[in-house]
Amino acid sequence: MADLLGIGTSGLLAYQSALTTTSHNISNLNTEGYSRQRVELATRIPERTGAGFFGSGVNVVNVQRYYDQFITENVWRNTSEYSALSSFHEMSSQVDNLVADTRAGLTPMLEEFFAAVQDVANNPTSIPARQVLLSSGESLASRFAAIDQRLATMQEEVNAKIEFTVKEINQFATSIADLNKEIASAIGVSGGKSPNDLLDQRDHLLLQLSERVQIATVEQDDGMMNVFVGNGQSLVVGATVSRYQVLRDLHDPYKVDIYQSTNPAIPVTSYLTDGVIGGVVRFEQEVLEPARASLGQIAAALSMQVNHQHQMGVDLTNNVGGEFFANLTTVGALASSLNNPATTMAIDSVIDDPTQIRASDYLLLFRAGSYTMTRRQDNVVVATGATIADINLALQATPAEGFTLIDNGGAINTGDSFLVRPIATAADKMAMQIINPERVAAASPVRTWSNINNVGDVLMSELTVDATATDVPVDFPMAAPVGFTYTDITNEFIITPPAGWTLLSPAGSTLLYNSAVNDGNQYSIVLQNTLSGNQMKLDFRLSGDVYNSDALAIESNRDGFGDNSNALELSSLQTLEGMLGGTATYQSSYGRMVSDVGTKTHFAEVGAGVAESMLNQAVEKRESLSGVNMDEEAANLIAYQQAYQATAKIITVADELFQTLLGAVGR
Amino acid sequence: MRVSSQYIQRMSVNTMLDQQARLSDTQLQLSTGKKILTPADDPVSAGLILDIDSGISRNTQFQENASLAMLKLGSEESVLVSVENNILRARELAIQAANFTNTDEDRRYIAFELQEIREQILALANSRDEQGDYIFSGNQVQTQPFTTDAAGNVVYNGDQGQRQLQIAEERRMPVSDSGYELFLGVRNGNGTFYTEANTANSGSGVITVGSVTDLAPYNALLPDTYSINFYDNAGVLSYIVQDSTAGIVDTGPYVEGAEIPGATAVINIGVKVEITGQPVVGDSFSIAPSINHGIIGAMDALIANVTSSRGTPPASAIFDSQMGKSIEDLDQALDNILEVRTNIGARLHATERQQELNESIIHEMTVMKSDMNDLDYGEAVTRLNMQMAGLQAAQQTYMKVKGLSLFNYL
Repeated sequence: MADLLGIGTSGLLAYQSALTTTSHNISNLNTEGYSRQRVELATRIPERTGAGFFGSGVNVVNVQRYYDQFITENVWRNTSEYSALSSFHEMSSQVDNLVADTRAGLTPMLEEFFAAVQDVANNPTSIPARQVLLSSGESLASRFAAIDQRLATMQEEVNAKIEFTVKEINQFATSIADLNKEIASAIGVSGGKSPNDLLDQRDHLLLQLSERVQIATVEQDDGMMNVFVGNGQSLVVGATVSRYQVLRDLHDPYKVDIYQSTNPAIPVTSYLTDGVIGGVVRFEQEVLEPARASLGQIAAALSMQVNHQHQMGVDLTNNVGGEFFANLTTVGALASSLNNPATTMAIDSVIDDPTQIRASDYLLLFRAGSYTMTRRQDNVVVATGATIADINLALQATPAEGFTLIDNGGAINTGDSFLVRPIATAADKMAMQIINPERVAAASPVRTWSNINNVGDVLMSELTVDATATDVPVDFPMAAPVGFTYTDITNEFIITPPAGWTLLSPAGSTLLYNSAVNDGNQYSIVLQNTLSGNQMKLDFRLSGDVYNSDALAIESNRDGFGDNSNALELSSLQTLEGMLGGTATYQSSYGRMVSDVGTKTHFAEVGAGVAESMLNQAVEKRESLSGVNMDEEAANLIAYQQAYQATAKIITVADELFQTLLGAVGR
Repeated sequence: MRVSSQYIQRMSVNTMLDQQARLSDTQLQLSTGKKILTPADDPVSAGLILDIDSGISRNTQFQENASLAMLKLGSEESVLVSVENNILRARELAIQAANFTNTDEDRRYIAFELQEIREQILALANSRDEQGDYIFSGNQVQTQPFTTDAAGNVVYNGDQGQRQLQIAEERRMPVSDSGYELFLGVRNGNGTFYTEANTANSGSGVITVGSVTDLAPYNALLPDTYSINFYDNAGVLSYIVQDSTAGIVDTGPYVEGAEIPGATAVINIGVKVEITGQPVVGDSFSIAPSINHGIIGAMDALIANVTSSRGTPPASAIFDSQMGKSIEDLDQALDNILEVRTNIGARLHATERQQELNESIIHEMTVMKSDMNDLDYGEAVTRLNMQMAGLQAAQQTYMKVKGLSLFNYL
């Protein structure tokens, strides 16, 4: 009968454990990362008798955790992916919103500026119209700066986010290492039993870690979990933690990079993928930097091209136009903080062709006596050479990069590098250069004149200063007119340049013009100032009948205050495809930037949606296996309770049997 | 499949959050009336809309420019109409003065009125626009175009510039004409050549302004200066036409009113003149290519001529030759103004047509932008209703399902 009692007791104990585990499940219903548990029951070792084996009750052999490593890792991976895309999307939609408001973008300011140019063209002598042009130029410049400022703030946000997330990663790594220690010792003392709740805690930490950065895990035999990030860089090995830190970028003081805190520190930014870190870094590289670079590119091209044209005009004070916007052509290259302390070399970049300039930074590396120039936008080596002059030759060769370098002298050592940023600061630095409305150069520096005594009605028209082949600012005024006198012996105009100028083209100083054949033809001449060496190319059209000794002239446009030719030329810059290698206007460059940001944001949004549903599927799978279902637990509660009650009944029966026996003996 | 209670809870909440987000988007679309809220909604259209915006604003500016062009051309034309009327009156007076019945007194009165007209034309040539800029000084708008120099001659101080306004992407409309072209660029004579009687003539021969009979030989020979001299050929009054190098063009006996050069011409120089009256031996006339001379210059010559004496037959003959020339000059001046006025009319017409074209471009762009950016309210409201129904269903389902638990029965 003692067996009966023993069996009953074993059942009571077993079901008590089962009820405990069920209650544990129910109470951890909402615990993040909890995996449901079950007690595993087994029969005790049976008693052998002559009649055979009699069962001796039930035993709890293990508290099992419903868990699958593969499913859990799948959740981690999907979490990394989702959090990368959602953090990318979150930041990218900020830029998207910034450019979304059509009234807050660049477009309205460009429109206003060029409309003001047109108004000056309509009324070249009107000081109010010129004043409006100056203030709309000011607004345009400050809009560039304002957008750039907003993007700079986003850069700071990126830096802060990286810094904060790396700190979190370090904390999680420390906690995981601590748990590794606990788990190993728990397994040791329990003789190989798994410490379920500790494992859940560690898995949950790993889940949170994978939200920050993509991880790879390997479990050791002793139950410790090794964690790796990026390209196999260790984060946690057993109970040891590798720490990461955030340092300023080597070249750019406004950017940061992530380093493994070894000695020397190893840069790992480019290896860390997915998670918040991966998403933010990708946002920085794919949205923020290109957007800022495009803005700088537009600012640089606009200011240079407007300045160039403006310097070919003459203002209300009879002077050649000065720079309209601040000169943004020359920008100093940034030396690496790791450069040899003995290096003193200083390098500037100078934009020479705003049409070709790209929205990119360049890295100039000096190693073993040779320079290598890499375009950072697409990591293409654009120039190599032993000297800066060699580099410049390669930069100017087709396809040209639109800028060259100036070596300001100084020593350079192998391993030194410079960040060349021709357009990076242009948007921020854009400003007005002229302040006096009279100095707006709306007029052309030259005009035509036909002799009053001409017999023919020959006319020189559409006289323009050729923008592409002219030194700016143009030399003004010429002391005397350039004379054109017709001789019918050879059907030619004989050109006489004024004193102080030589005629470089046409050769022979004559222009063949036969009114029957050449009526309306386009001609050009090139003059060179003997003192300054500046060249001026003039284009014009000849039309009408001409007779012997008819004379025409090109003279300086003194007092031509009603002339709006240069204002018209300035205004045509609005539709000039003078950017991106001659394929885009300022407006369409900006439009491309906006739709680029839009596209990236759109795909991040779509991608985040897909990643979210993948994550949900993974979580559903994990929850399906490990999650607690209340109804199930309620049913278990009832089942175990009933089993407990039934087992208790065995004790009662054993007691009754015992009492019966006692009664029989006592008689 | 097992479903965990927490997962059911989370999914139901997520569904509601999603529905709410979509609802809020639709709501925002409805309140702004825009289909595209941020470039991410439709990146390609978003970039395009900016370009269209820019195009609309540029064309709107062209419209303004065109209106200004119309205004400027209109005011220039009204000045030219006055100039034209003045020249017409001067021409009338010149014809009247040419009539031999006039006394010297009459001609002095005529000269007096002509003098007034000259001042009037000069004042018109120095007109200013509403900004105080001179209309006819080319681009030197702050320089008075016509002034009288120390010698009493009217000189032009402006240039030959012409202002253009941009009225379309590829169209610049000239909105001014220089005083040089209008008032100075006037050919004398018949516009190709002019004739003159030698002031030392003692006969009463009067030369007509002549005309071009054949432009090709005239041009081929290059405009030359020709002289017509009268000489005594064996008792017959004859003429000889010679070019500038004394080469003989034609010679023959003088017949009053006959064409010179006549049928006997050695060289066809492509022009003809007639001489009437009675020239005498030693008289000479000349034919020279037209030169530009100003309206004011023509007026001055006319006034001087009107007041000159015609007491003797030779003086009278020179008077007649000169008057013929003066009237021809006025006709040339009138033609010149008329030509520019016709030109202005064409420019006004072209500007107007361009305005219509610009208007339709703006309209097209607006429609295009609207297609891309404007919300279809019907569709959006339907969507809103569906989303609201969806959210409501999700909420009700959640409330119902949430209550289901075995624990309720324990």
